[in-house]
Amino acid sequence: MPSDLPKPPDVVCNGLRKVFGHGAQQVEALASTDVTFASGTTTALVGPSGCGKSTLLRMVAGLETPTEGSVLIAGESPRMTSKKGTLSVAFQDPSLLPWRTVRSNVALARKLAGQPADKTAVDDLIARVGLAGFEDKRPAALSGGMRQRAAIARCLATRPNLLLLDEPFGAVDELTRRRLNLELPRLWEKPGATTLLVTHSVSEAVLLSDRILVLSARPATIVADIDVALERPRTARMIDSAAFRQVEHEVSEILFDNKGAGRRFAAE
Amino acid sequence: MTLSLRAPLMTVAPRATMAVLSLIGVLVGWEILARALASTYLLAGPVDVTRYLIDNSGLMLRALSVTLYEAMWGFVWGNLAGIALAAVVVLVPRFENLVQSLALVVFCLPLVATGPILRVLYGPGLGPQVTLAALAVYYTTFVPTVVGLRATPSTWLDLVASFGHGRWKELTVVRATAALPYLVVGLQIAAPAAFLGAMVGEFTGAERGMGVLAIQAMRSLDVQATWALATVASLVSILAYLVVGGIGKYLWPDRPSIIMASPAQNDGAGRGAKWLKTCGLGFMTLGAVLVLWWGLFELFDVNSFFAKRPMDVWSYLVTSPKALEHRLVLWEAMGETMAFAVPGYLAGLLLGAVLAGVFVLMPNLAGLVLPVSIALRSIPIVTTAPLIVLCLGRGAAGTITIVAVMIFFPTLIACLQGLRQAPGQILDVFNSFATSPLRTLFLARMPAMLPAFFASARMAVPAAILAVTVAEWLSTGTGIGNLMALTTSTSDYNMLYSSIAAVTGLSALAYAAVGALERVVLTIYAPEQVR
Ligand SMILES: Nc1ncnc2c1ncn2[C@@H]1O[C@H](COP(=O)(O)OP(=O)(O)OP(=O)(O)O)[C@@H](O)[C@H]1O
Ligand SMILES: [Mg+2]
Repeated sequence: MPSDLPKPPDVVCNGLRKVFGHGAQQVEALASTDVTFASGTTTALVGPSGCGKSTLLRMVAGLETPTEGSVLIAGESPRMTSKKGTLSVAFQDPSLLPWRTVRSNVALARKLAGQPADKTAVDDLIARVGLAGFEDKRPAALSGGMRQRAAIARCLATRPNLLLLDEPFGAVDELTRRRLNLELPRLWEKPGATTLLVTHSVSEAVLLSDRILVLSARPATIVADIDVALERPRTARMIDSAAFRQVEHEVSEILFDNKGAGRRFAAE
Repeated sequence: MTLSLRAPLMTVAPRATMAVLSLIGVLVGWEILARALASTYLLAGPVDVTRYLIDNSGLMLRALSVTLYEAMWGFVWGNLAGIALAAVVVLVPRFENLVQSLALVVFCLPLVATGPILRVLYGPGLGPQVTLAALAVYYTTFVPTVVGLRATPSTWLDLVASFGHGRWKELTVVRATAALPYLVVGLQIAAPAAFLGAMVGEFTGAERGMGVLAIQAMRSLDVQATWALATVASLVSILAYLVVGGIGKYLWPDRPSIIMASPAQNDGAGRGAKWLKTCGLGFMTLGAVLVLWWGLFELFDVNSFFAKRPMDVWSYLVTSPKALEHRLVLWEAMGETMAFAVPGYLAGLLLGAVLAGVFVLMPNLAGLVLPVSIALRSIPIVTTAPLIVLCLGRGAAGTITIVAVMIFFPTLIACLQGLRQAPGQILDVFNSFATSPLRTLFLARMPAMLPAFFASARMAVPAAILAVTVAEWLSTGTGIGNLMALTTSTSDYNMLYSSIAAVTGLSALAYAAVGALERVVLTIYAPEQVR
């Protein structure tokens, strides 16, 4: 691991707001928000469905232009960061290219980021997400969960130091999800990338993050900012610990209290 | 927001403005060009055309009403036939493959030769033109209707079955409802095609109608009349396309995206077994065609002088003492035709695909040129063949251009739709790396476009054959189209039937070959479409 790698960036959102549509069809997805994601931390975003989590993430990724306010990634615009290839997004939908094999899909990320091809690293990554033996299969031959794991491998293939994960385990079965939850921090060797994780699972949020932001129903506002002071690395045993359950309970409480919007939200 | 072609290229209001602007642009450009080239006596501008139309309004209206009348009945009969065939395919799945390939073979019949034969069979009147119009439309209605009947959500079918109803109920109640939007797509393509069929019928020896006037104008080098007739034919085609499309859009706002599905289904058999099956189907189709051909002629007891049976063609080409000579004539004519058809076909496909790519990279240009292209797409170029012959001459250039243009516009529109089909999420992935539009085009949009491109390439095979035979019939004096014209006028029916058999067979085989290629492409690029 080369040590001269730049420090993971911090992400500063200043008065960030997003309104979709015009006139009568206006939808405010995100109310004006100030928030800073510190360098090298993992922050989980939880909130009711349709509240604006993906929108926030997409603005950080530079895929959506803010209606007001700005995002600065280590002082630069998201587009600048995208161009450098140091930012990686795992989308809610696996969105693999159906005509490319798993290996070629994962390798594509490196190509797009302008990084040299590295077949060993790509195959290694595919093996780590549990897809060894499927390198030459096309997405159509994979199950939904396997596709999502391939998408995660693609997301990590560029060794990003800013990771934007939008429900990366949404279609993965519970068992695999647990396994990947525990393994995710070890999946990229470079520790401490700044990570934003959107999730519907409170325990996943607690297990993976240093900090949990609970968002309200649309338009999203931050209703709670909770520190997860559990030691790292997180282990399977921790899930049953009192400290873990305490945080989990705290988050669920706020979610379900929040104008009933949380009722649509599966606490686990 | 950065270039996001997921959304329509532009919103409604600017789009209408763009359409008007580009229309004015076309008119002005056309007039300027006509004036600049006045000395060549090739071009008549919009002013001349309008003047001609006003001066000859009585004649034009009479001719137009005849052609429209034929096209209308052809439209009705052809579409009824297409729908009935689609219903048969769904009701009796066992015969599905056979019915589909038979329908294709009939669609591949060269209209220029079918016309004169029908004229002999029917006697004078509008019958042949109506039949040609029907032949020109039924296949493009049949294919999407089958797709639509199959696209029924299986939960609906389960619902019907749970009430204990059978296939017939299933078809009439559930599948028919689901198929309607697809049928509308077919009808929209059919509207200008019916006009084309009627025109081709008139090219090949009718007494009245637009096609007759167009031929006369072309033969007498009447530039104004040729341009005026081509303009009217184009406007009618565009109008028919827009009206049927507008009604469809009003009734069913959501259009299906997959319209021209691949011809045969992938039934999951191994490769060897599949080949065997394909060959078997080929022979079965051939047998059925021969039986139908012979059976129909016998049934209606038509005179064997001008209604040759399969045995006559066989002996003419194989067993008669002069068979070799006959085969050589046929072979040479086919060679000449292919020398026009293949370059025109490839050029049309390539230009269509490349220009679609350019339009995606330059959405502003697309906004300007697209309305015109969509309008031109609906014109069956063959209806304006006399004009192209007039402008480009009777040589290779004119014929190849007719073929290329005939294929270019449908391919362009299909490819544009295909390019837009690249799912938004995949484009997001490219966008999240700030990938350049050109790179996104090559790595994501082009591959996603391939299914649409190949569907277009497949449908373009009979279109190319139609275009080349019409051009040859009208003008070039070479190729199989010319041979057909010649043998019609000399009543050499043995050679005429041999030519028809050869063109139909070749056309159907080429269609099947492109279809096979398409299926390979689909399994890779759109696996969800081959189930
Ligand atoms: N491109 C768009 N145009 C218009 N409205 C949009 C668009 N994208 C999102 N929205 C709206 O913004 C709101 C927030 O959407 P967003 O996708 O951010 O929700 P989410 O929190 O990610 O929901 P989920 O948990 O279900 O993924 C929704 O009401 C949605 O309808
Ligand atoms: Mg979301």
